[in-house]
Amino acid sequence: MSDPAKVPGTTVSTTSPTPHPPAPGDGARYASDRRLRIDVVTIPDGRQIRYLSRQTPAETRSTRNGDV
Amino acid sequence: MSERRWNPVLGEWTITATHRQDRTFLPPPDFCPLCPTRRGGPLTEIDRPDFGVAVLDNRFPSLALDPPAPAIDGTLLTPVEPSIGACEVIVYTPEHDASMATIPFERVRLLVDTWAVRTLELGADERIAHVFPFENRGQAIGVTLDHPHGQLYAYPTIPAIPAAEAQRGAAHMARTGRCLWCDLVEQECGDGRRIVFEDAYWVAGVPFFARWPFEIHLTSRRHVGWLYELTPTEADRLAAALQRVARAYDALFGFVLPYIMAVHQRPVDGGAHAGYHLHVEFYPPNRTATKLKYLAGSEAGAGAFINDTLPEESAARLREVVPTDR
Repeated sequence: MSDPAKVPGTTVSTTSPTPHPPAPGDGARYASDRRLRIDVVTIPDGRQIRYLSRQTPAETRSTRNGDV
Repeated sequence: MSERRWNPVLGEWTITATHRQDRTFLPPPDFCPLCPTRRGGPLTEIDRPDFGVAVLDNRFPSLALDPPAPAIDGTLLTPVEPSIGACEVIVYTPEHDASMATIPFERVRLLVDTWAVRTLELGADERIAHVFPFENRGQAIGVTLDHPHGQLYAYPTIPAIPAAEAQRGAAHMARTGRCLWCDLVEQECGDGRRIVFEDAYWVAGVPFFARWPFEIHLTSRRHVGWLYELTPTEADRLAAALQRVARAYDALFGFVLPYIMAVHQRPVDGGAHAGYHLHVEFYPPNRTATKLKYLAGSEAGAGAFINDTLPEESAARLREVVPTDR
């Protein structure tokens, strides 16, 4: 069976979060849902650097268990 | 010094940012501030040898969440406001010589999630009205750092172009009950002459009304307004489509084509904007391998773009070079 994502004109039903403007906490929820790890570093001049990476499945399980 | 000055003639804000005159300008690769710091080398912005995507507060921001007081007083006719907002640099990879076209797919996918999460985090600040990810690529566009990176600006008001799009989208929805971009996608897919590629989630084409010779708009089939509304599959397919566009451009003339990439998403000012539809626009300045299109009298002075090419012919040329889906 062909991948519907690669068949032009094929509509695939999808679900997504209810659309609403951003609210406090939405960013953290999105990061958790999408398995994003975000390390925030403040450098000497006060600016912040955010390093984003994808959590491994083991990290995701550990985070959901509250171990991290 | 940085402030926003109101232009009552055009009804828009101009941002002054005089400190940006001193920003780093095309340093040699050994002194690139976006490469990881090397042992014995100069300190850079990046303190680790490897990372997925890095988001840096811009060292020379035009907008800041704690802006300085304006250096000049406004008037009733020409008010002045602090430059509230945010300017971030998004570094795609530690590799200095890579690009959107050559980095691994997983990095582009992470970039899409990075745009979404920064939209949520900055957009939750009630002082922010619009979040705009973009990329300037190539010295012809005016980049000052060659390292593969994009930027993200968060504005305190909706800038002129997304404001016009929101107004036009709302008017179309009020008149027809339908989304303007959904209707454009339906029309363009039905016609086919200007489509570059499409799948079940995204449509890439040269707009019927293209301003630039090889302009491409990448539009989601589903009516979504913000990046963070995308399902994981839609985000996967967006990442794949972004790379296909970049690779098609690089194949067009046989060199890394400069471009501006602009991510147009729904404003976050709390307005309804139900008619606004997420899409990504690309504007390469080249009209041939050796000739650039400039914003000259008609474009810069009157706002009337003149395109020296036919969108149908440009799309046909791009279809010849666009790579097959991964």
